[in-house]
Amino acid sequence: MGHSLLEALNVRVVGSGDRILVLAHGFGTDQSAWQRILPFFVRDHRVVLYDLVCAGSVNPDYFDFRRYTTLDAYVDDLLYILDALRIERCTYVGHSISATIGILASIRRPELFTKLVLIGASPRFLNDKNYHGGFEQSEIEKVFSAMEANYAAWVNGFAPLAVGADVPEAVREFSRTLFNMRPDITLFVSRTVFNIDLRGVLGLVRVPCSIIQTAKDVSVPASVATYLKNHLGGRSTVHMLDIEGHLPHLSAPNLLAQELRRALPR
Amino acid sequence: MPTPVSVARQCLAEAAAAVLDDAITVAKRRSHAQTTSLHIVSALLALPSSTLREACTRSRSSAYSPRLQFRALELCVGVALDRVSVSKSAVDEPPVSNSLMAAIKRSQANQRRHPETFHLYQLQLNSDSLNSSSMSAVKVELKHFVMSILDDPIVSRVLGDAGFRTQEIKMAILNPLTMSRFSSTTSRPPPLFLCSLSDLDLNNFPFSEDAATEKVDENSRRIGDILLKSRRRNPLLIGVYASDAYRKFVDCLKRGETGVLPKEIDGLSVVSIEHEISECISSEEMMEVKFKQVVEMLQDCQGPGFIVNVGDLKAFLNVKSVDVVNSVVSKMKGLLINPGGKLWLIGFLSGDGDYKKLIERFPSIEMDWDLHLLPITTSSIGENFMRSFVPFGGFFTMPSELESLCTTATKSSRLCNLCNEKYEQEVSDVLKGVSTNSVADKQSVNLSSWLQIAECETSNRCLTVEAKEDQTILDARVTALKRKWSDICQRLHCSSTSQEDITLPNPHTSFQNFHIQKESANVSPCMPSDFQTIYLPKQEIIPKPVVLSTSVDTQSEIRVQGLELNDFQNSSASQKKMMSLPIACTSSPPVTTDLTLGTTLSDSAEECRRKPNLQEHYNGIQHSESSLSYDILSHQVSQSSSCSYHREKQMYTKDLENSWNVLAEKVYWQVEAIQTISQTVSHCRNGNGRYHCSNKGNVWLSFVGPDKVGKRKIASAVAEIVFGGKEHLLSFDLSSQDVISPFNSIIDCHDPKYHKMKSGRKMIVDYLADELTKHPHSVVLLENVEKADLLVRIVYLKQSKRVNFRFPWKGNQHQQQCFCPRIDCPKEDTDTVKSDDENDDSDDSEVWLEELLEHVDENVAFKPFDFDSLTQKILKKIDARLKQVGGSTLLLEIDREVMVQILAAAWLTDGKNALEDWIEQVLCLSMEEARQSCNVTSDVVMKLVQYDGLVVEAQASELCLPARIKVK
Repeated sequence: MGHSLLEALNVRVVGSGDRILVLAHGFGTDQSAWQRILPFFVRDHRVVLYDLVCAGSVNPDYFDFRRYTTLDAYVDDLLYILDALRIERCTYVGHSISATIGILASIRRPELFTKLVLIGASPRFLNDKNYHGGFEQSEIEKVFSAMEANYAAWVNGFAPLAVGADVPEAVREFSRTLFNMRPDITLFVSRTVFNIDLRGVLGLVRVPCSIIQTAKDVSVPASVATYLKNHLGGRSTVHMLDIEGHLPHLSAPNLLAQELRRALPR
Repeated sequence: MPTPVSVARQCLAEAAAAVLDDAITVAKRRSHAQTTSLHIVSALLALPSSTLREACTRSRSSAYSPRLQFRALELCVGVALDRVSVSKSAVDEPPVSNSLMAAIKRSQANQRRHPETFHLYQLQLNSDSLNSSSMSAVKVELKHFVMSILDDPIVSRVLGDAGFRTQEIKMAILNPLTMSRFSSTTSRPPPLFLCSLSDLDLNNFPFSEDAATEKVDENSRRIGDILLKSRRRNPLLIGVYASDAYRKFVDCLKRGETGVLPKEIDGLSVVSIEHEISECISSEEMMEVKFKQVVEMLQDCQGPGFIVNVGDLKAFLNVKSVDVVNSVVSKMKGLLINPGGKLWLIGFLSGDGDYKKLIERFPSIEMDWDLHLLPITTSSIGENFMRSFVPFGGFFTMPSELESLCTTATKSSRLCNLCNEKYEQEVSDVLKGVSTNSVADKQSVNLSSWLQIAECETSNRCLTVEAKEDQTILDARVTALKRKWSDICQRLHCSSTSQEDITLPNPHTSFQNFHIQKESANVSPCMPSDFQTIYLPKQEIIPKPVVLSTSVDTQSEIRVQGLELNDFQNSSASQKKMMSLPIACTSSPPVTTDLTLGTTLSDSAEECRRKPNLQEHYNGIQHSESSLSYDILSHQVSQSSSCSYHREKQMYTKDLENSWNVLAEKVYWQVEAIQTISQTVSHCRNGNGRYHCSNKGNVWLSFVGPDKVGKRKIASAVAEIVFGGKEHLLSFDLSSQDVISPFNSIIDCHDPKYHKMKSGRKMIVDYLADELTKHPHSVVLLENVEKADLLVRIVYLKQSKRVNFRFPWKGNQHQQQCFCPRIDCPKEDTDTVKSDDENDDSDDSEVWLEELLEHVDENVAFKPFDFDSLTQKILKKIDARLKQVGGSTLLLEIDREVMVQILAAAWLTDGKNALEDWIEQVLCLSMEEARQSCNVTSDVVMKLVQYDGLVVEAQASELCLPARIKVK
């Protein structure tokens, strides 16, 4: 293996400053999702950007269908990048699947993280008794079969739904990155995501967390934010954004950037 | 929303843009609203030599003829294009669909990452940081374009329908020169990045992977990694799925599965104190006993060590007396500090809340037990589900109203070989029929190119519409055919119940013959020793089974219609060349007369071709009925799908009995053995096998005893009875390490030409693996197992022990096999009568052999062939004949060598009356002739000897004796 993971996952470090900020994108997007957030932080932060291995911008050959069956493999990648960049401490901002990856990474290596900022995070998407994750198993199966049946149609239907707000640019951008993903990988990752359950481990998190939640998110009910706050082991706060959609960094970048500013450790 | 053509065209390099233009023309002519990836594929296929065509050629399945498979592909593309709805308003340039545009974008991204151009684009990217519009500067080359098109689910489905795998096609595009069908599809990608960040520590690179981890679930792999650590090496799993992962891991270890753990500690054993922990706490004595046991085990421990599983630590929280737990914890701590590092511990907790309580109550437990917290967030059960996920090919189905069509279409690619071949034949028939009817407009791109291939050269524009209609009918017919065959296949071949695993009698001809080859002055070791000692003083001539040149490849080609005849002509020609050893009949005054016999070889070959079944080889009148019903069965099933399965099954069972009976009469000296085999096979079918069959449908039999010929005959008959044809037998002689191909082409293990092929033990295993991948329904005959050298032994022993019939081939094996449940009947053929040459390692051998014999489904004892009584019988028959011919005045002296040949011929023959016929028609006739030619009327002594100088011109039917005897 002569090549580097940092190359494969398009790792980039931009901006200058003492503090390090890691921006990790979520399912269906790639690091370009942070485009409009980035300008707010490059002046006083070194911002680390990378693509998840499942992103459309990463060579699909790297996606090992045996390895990426749990989020732990993604956590390995993240920790490897941080170590490779000799980062000893950072603030981590993770959206959707990356929020979960951040939680697991902080359990494994608490000393690496000063704070986690979790956007649209969910410990479990499926409903359970005494837990409202937002999805029933049968619904999920329907989604999967829709994806299998016609990926293009699914993307075209899902993108506006996920973006929520009436922001055509955001829909277009999310559609673009979704289409960039190879369909079989998209489906596989969605299955992985719906398979996970972090409820038994949230208490192991010691790092303080900020949970950013939009008022209406098709993927994550607002109650999940409260659940997270109550169960995360560290000191955590919830920041509700009075907007709609699962992708505030695409649909309302300015608002999110301000909220992020507030959430970052001073 | 679709993209304007001009925008898409800007992203493409010249060649790719040309293909796009072609595709747009296709879409336009078909009045489609958008140009999709399918149109691109259609355009690519229309070109006489395109990247796609070449890649398809290289990656196509060797089982079908390329012409046929390409036709199927063109047909499938045509069908898929027909399904695209026609737009009402004609567009000049149908815009590029979203999914095609996405494919173009993906190929841009791919090309940007490609090493050849990486630096260039990197420069561009740096100059234009973060702005994604720089992507448009990348002009996509055709190769990358085709690669992304192949990712489109619609395209991979269409290719899958035609029997191609997109993954393999992609491999073929990437590696134009080295493309092997069996190359691992999971092989690592070529190094894409030549520049690396030099100051980084690249050890522990997460992409590097261990081949052994392939079948291990991710949770177990992580547990294994923790066990390897020097500190904090005792995993404590936490999470909702922790108990799942814990059970799965522990069960794997208990079952002794290899490869679950990292190599360093593979073979770790398990000691469970789970029960004691949960109960313990109430009775300390039990705990004491268990700890003592652990201490003893630790002292005796030979392997890498063992792991104590403590189970759910919640038990510690429920206990009233903290002291008891503390004492358990400290005792355990004492054990864990043992110097050898041979003891591990594993436990779980289902929630972080419990963990907090545990730490509160027993603050030191984490340190004392050297625990490593492992959050488990994914269920192992879910993972199994994920594992069944097949990336690429056939996974994505068509939406809504086409669903039913589509399911059958996907299944058709999963037909077993037999049905697939019949299906293809019928499709090709349909194609032929249509192509002669329809007058295709050669200039019309509207028609898919298979119609353009039609013999009809005249172009007639007026008939385009008609041709199109024809195509629709054709599509319907092909779909119907697909459905029919998948129905048949599903009901008869691919269903999971044991009875249904049986394949139909294969209509393929297998022709089997032997001839006697003269070999001067040495005893071939392939003769059973008893035969040698009784009948063969040194310097004997022995009969040898000989190759009929039907290699595996030719067989698969036979499946393609039209080649059959050629093949048989070839084989009979080659056989003629191989004739040798004439027998000369000498009488006192030497007169030479040529005797000819009615049946010539080519006739018998021809006959065999027409009557492929074992029963029909056999002349017995009483059996003709059973063979007829056999034929009827295959006929019915192939002709109509309406006949009920139940009836087939009944008929089959009845037929099966008959088949065994026929075999028992043919190999009359091994009746008990045949009974045992038929019982074992049917038992295993019903899932009552001793070892393997109950799980995997494999049946293992060992044939113990002398009588090599009997064993071979029976093996070949089993192949025919169980799988419907002798070509389903794979025969290997492990003593010679040569690759021996199927029985219908028995290669003598000492044929000089195969000595050269001795490329070692690995080859047998590889060859067998290859063959089994190609022909999953096979009987494998392994001869001389006890002579196999160590490596081969180990491999076979592992196979017989393992539930899973796995060979050391890597990669896509399950893809190859999962569609047809298999009943392999591998057999070990072991001669317990050991020859002298293996004394040196006989001890070792015996142990190994015993172990092997323990793991087969049944040991079948073979009696030695009774040559004495056969000799008596033959002599009596000859005597009786002689009396008829010449009264008491004629005496015949049969040379010992000739007698041996006759005996061997009788042993080898499949024809019941063949020898008698030979005596009557060849021997007696020639004697009569000889007597007439020398004009002697009384008291003649004739001598039947072997004559070295002549080449046998013809062979008696079904008997490896010459059809003529020279009279001198």
